[in-house]
Amino acid sequence: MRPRVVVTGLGVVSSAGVDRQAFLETVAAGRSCLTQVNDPRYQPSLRVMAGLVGKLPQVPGLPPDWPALDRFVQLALAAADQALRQAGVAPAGMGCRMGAVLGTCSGPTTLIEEFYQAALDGKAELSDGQAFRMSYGSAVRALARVFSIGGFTSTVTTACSAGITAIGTGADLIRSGLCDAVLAGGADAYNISTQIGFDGLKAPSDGPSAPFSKPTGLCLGEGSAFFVLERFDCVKQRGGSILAEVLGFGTSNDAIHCSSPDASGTGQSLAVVRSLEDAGLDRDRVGYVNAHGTGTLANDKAETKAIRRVFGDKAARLPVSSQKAVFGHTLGAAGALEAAATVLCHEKGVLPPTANFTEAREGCDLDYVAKAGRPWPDDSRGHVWIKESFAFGGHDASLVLGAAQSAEPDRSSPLPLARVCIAGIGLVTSAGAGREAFLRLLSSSGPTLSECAPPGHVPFRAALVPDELDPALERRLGLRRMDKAGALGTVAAHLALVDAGIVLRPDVAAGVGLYLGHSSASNAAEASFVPDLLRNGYVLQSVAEFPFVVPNATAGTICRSLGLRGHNAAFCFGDGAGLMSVLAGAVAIQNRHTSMLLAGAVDVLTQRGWGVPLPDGGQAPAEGAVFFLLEEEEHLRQRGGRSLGHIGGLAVATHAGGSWSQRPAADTVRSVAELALRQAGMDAAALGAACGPAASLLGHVTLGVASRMGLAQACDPLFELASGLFASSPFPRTLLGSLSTRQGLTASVILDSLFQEGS
Amino acid sequence: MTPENQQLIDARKPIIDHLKVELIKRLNLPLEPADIHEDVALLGSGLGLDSLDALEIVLCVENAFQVTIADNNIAVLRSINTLVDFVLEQKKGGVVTP
Amino acid sequence: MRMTPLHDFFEKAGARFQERNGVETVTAVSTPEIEYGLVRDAVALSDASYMQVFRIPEAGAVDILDPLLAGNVARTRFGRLLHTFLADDEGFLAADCYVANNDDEFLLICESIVDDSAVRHLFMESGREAGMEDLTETYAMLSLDGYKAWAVAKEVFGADILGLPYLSVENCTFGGEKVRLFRSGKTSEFGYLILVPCGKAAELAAVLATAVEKQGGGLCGAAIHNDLRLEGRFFNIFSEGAVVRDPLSLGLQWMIDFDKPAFRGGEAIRQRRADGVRKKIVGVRVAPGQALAQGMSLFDGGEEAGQVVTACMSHVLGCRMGLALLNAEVAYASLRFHLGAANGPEVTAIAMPPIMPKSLSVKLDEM
Repeated sequence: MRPRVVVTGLGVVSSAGVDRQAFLETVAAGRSCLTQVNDPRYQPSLRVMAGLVGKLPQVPGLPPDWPALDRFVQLALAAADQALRQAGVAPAGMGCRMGAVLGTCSGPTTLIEEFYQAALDGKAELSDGQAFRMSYGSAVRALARVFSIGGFTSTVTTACSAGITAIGTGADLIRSGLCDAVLAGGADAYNISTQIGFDGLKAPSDGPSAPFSKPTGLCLGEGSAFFVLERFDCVKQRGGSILAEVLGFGTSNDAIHCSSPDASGTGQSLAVVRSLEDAGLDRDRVGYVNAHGTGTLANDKAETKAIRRVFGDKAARLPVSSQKAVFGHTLGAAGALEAAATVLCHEKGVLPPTANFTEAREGCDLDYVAKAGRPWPDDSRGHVWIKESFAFGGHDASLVLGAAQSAEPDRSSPLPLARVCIAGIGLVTSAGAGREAFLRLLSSSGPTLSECAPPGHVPFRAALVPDELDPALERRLGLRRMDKAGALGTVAAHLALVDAGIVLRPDVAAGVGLYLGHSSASNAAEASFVPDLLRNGYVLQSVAEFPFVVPNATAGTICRSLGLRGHNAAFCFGDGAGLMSVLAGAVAIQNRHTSMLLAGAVDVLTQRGWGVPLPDGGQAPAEGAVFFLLEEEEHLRQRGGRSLGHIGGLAVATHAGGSWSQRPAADTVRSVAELALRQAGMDAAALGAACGPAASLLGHVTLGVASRMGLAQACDPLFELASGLFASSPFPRTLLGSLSTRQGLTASVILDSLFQEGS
Repeated sequence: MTPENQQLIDARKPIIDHLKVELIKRLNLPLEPADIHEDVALLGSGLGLDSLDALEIVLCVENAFQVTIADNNIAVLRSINTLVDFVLEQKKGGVVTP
Repeated sequence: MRMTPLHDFFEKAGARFQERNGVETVTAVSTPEIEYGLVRDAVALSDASYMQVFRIPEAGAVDILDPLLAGNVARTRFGRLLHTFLADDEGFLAADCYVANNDDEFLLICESIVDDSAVRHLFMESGREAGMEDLTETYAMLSLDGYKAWAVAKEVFGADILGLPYLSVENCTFGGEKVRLFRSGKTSEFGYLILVPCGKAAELAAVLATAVEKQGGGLCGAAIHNDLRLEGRFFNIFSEGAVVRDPLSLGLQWMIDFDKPAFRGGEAIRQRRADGVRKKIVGVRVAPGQALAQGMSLFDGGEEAGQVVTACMSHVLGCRMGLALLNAEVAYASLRFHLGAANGPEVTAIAMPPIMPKSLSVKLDEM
């Protein structure tokens, strides 16, 4: 039976307050904290307002040998500190039982801008330290270090729904039994290039934003919020106090457009319906919806439609409000900040109002709790709330939260964890698309290398995926209008589905999910959009690339091109992100968010992501893409599919101490592998083969593939695992996959063959 | 050719050529400039562009010709020819070069 | 002559019929002025059973259709329509085609300017083994077009069809029978094609007609569609297509997948593309009251610049307008020509489309 997840700590930093009390007072009063942006770089003709934090509160510092990190990291540290203090948990004593998940949209964009400016000036430095500073994963690494968090750590990069998805993912980790507690939330700092991108989309408001009201338009903001999530029984045992319960989590992808929401509200409503199904609650139990409510014409209308879709006639009487007029659209922090506002306001008994509301807009006809807060309805319906967030890339997410009092009576036990199989593998390497090309490369003496010289780099040689892949596939999938990452990802995802025998009819595609892991979050759009802005003195020349600057754009492209609308997220995990994405995907299926989910990674040559001194010297960097189709075992059995392996065990730890670039010690790597083995109910002697750093520690010869295909930062461990699976086909044995990264992560997964076709 | 018509072509052609090249580059279209008929529908059928593409076209025209296209003016975004008419109308009498 | 299964229904309404390429067509029901107004301001129901329809199981469909048609059939996603054409071996137009990827089947909808049987022969020869069926004689096709077409479709088939994007297909039921609904239209207003088995065709037509009347609409014929297409600059194979026949001069490059290794007539089209297009069609208009008709010559100074290939009365412009096939060097909007002779009545080349239909301001997916 899956454990219940409760909230025991909350921390908030925003323009509405840098502590819980001040924040609550401002939000409950509906006081708008938007102020004029006064940045000299910003065109004076474009006068916009934003929710800016100003001076940050004192936060626990990082060790002096760490490089100075981005403002979004400082925001995250400040909010996380509050949350952990309130919960009173001591992560240091919990080892890998405590995890951290951080959501962000723009991440270290200010530092990234500095990098491109230096590159334009011919002074770019691409040391390990600089690469780390510009990594979306830098914040969660800092959280792990400062607060000694040693379990599963990851960064959710689903843009404006990242905060919600981080909290949902954190809850999943607990429900899967991987962690007893997770620090989960979001953080984003205000920066000019993001503002100008939104300007180009004609999204901003001329004055203070007024969601669902006239006039239209959004105001950006900055901030952070963190939740301490814990297992209900652990909290009871230690006598901790409960603030709220995480009842359900659901996501979807619109699969329609890179930046505009699904105008029909279908995609958004799908996420909400899934979160209610996950909670096992009827929609009638919901007493309040905390809206995404950005203030834009497109969002507010679509969201109102989506709420009507979910709640039908009852939508008219359901209070719905948005806090974005109070502290702005804080992007990756928004979901977490607004969920925190909901929890805090409920505690005070006030429905949080929609500030700046004057006159309802056409198509916006719900009860938006206009202007002033009012007493929270005092019935059982008032105890269950929805927090929804929607994002670029079509990533929709919804969380069902419950009041602390709802956590007391025993709820019926949720379904047991589902069992997860690998049903198909899709591969793209420098040798081309498909398994044949992959195997050809594996048996070669090494990849064909090309000379590369991205601007600001020392020239180097790399194994690139040819621009012309397979003409038939290119025509079939419409790759000509995609960027390279989107194209490679689409091909690998398509091949994984074909390998699994899945025909993507619309009803099938609507249920197929996608988890994309990336190593450093650098993409072609960023390398063109940001330098263009800098060159043109922050005057926008082109907006087409802006929606592709967010790291989840590649996942969005894949979902759009294949019509995938199932459970969806993008993560930054550092090196070996593909394997981590498979583990996260397995957790999602265990929690029954979907019965089929593509999990994998894409590596393409980019100006910022490459050229960093490579960890193991020697191997040339490589491009590639890989997706595993993960499937719930029962679903696979019923459709008569074939399993390449069942995920028997998985374990993850983060090296919390020491330097920012320290790999986990051999002892940690081995103990994580042994933990995974124990979960699978076997010992090391029973393993048929092993890949990654744990192999030699367990007395196996590793199946390293980098010498044959170059080192694909994110894909490599999955390439290894795939080679292991192909080598042992038909699959009579057990296989271990593992990784240890410069970002301090170590993970192991056990594949066994408990279910075979016809068995 | 009559001199009047030559003049009209001289005013129109540079705008057309610039827009086609920019459209293909910015929107990654799998076509050559000669493949795009000036009357082909930009949105919906024809080239089948979407709302973000439309914003990109607006930005492209605004930056290249120093004109402003109002947010709700979808009438000018129907084809290259309607865009060119709009630019020429805005710049009435002046010389238009991208 | 192939008769329309809706003959009786339209005859009772006082429709006029005509033969086109061996097929009976409902040409008109009332006057052009009335029928035009129905579509632009309300909604009109017409018979599109002159179209040929083929069904092919999904499994072999791409392999059969891709080598025949100019567009990228392989890329046509589930639930979507591809608009392309069939050329002859010399790369000249034979049929305007929609390809619909509808779950476990592909549907091919053709408007052809060659003989019915030639088109059937070509497709059935290639597709018989893959299970291709000719639905032309067992199904009727109805066309619902106009500013209020969505309201009629919603009333008859349910509110879900409002979410159907342009160029997509949906399966509905009517009287227990499967009906395929295609969101298409070439009038610049909302448009739906409805494929219904012959046995239910008259009944569905009657139900639709009642719903159409409720929206202030009525019946129309195929003739007014020629005018509506021209005004909206939708390609019309029966007008400019039948006269010009070269897809490149017609500006149909967007219907062609140049990345495709080969398609019927593709080699000739590629060759003409490489040589450069020498003639192009351009929209033209004349002064109110001035005549403009197919075959008239256009003069640029003393030289003949081209000919009018199709023309109609534009109710929006208040004058006659048309398309002319001009020498490429003078094929520019805004140029002035003279009809029939160097000093003939003035003709102005115009940017197309000249109209801004009301339907463009309605967003169905937000309803």
